[in-house]
Amino acid sequence: MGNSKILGAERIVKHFGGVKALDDVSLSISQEEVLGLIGPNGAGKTTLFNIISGFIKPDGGKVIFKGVDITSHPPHKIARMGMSRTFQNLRVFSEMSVIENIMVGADVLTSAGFFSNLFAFPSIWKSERESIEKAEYFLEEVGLQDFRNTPAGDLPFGKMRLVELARALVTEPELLLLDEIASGLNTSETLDLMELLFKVKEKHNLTILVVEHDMDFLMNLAERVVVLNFGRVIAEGSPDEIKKDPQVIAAYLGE
Amino acid sequence: MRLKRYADILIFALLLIAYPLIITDNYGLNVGIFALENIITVTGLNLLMGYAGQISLGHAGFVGLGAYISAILTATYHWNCWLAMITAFVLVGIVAFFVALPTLKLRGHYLAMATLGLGMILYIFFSQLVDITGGPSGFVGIPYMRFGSLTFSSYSTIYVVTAMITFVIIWLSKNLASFKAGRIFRAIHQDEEAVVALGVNTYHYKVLVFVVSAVFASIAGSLYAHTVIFISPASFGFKRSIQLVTMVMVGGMGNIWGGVTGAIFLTYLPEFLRIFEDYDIIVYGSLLILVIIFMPGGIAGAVEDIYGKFKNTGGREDR
Ligand SMILES: Nc1ncnc2c1ncn2[C@@H]1O[C@H](COP(=O)(O)OP(=O)(O)OP(=O)(O)O)[C@@H](O)[C@H]1O
Ligand SMILES: [Mg+2]
Repeated sequence: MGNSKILGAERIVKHFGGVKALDDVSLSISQEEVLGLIGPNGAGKTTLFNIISGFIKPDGGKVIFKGVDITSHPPHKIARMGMSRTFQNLRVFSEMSVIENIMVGADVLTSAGFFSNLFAFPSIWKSERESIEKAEYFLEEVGLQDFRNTPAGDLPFGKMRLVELARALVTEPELLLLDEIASGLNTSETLDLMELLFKVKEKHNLTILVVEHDMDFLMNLAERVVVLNFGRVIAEGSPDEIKKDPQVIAAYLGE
Repeated sequence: MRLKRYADILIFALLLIAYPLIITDNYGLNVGIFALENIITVTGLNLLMGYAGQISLGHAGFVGLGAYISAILTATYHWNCWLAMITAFVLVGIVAFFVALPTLKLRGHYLAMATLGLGMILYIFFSQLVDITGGPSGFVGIPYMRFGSLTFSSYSTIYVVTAMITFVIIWLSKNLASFKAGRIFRAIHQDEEAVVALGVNTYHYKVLVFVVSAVFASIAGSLYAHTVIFISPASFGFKRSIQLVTMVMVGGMGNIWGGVTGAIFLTYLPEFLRIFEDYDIIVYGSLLILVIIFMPGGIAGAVEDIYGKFKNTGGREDR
């Protein structure tokens, strides 16, 4: 479909002591759009992600997700509404197997409660089966079936990124926030990841907000790009427009 | 699949049954009962610490609270012992809930500090409320457990009751550890924010596991009170809390059988060390240090590593 707005960040302000990490930042994403967010180190990209996903609260402005003001919602509640994120620094559960990592994400949507878990009532067995099935589906989707029972911490770096992605996807998000998911990957891994993202986006009708330093990756993936610099939006447009924008060039060259 | 999942718990049941058939003397049974009571508390503590990664330095306080509530209700007010035991763990659960509520909202080691404080406060209550608890000299005249016309006063009968309750506790703990809750506990232990990002209210899970662990401690305390029929504050102080934590660490954090092993090992060890007489504490301490240095995953971790080497897989995979 497209066009209808799924997320809006409105006039977000965030200070860290004397540092103005975000200064009146607004952006909006339409349903099933892929929006790229770029900017030099320290521009405020991760801070904006943290505010959108509810992990930190802004000093000013608000975040609207699917028509609801979520600015003061706790992060787990926002996730439940259909927003999933990955982290810039890898955060797999390293002592748990790959399938268990993904199952934690699947567990969120199963219905069995604490007492059926405690007493092993039939409903927990049912939930368990659902979690396994769903986790296995996404295990295959990201191509990790050969590593099913490997502790996630023993995987090569690129594969850990895929665990994080599968874990985010299994929660059935509508909006996916990816914070430098391709960083640290080699060229072929980056290409594979891009292909994978295209595939899952189509399959699950995802809207994606992606932060990336790798320009080729981002420009290929994103339909529209927002550029942050020192906590302010300095440009916005299609990848081609952004590449030619003098302010953007200056921001990157002037580093 | 179900049968495989419960194979270990069936073996445990067989061991529980075998013990009193092999060890029939009162001393052996008595130590066995203490080991079981420790298993109950340590298993709860293991769920809290080993699985969910939250530290309690005051669990002896919950054991004591369970013991005293049971003692007072049965001896002073002549309640039925089972009703007293249930009342005790409900009250202890409520206390734990209200301790957890503010402290677990915050990240960091606030729970360790709060439980440390709570343990001390409870200890002071046990020793200062002389009219109710008997004070430092202890509470005497606790009745044995009873069921209908049966009175469980011999070591063998107390063993049977304690073993049955221990089995239930282990079964419940296995359930918690094996499914959704256990996965979420372990995930919280490793990276709480990442769990939150998946849509889990981690705060709920942390409060829950803390309450469960306190309730288990309370049950162990009630059983203890009806076993020794005399309790005093000295059994429920800071030293005891540390001992319980040590049992979890020595046995193996985040592994139910690890905690069980640790509880058994450290219950029997002092008994064996009596042959060293005055030097027992030195040997005890040295053994602990050796275990911690050479078995970072505890006894259970070491066993899994050896087993893993035999099977030529990495070992410790399930943790
Ligand atoms: N928790 C925090 N406390 C203090 N300052 C912070 C905190 N988080 C971010 N900052 C500061 O806010 C600014 C924006 O940081 P942010 O991490 O959002 O940048 P970024 O665009 O994600 O950078 P990078 O490309 O390096 O990931 C930086 O100056 C950073 O030092
Ligand atoms: Mg960043």
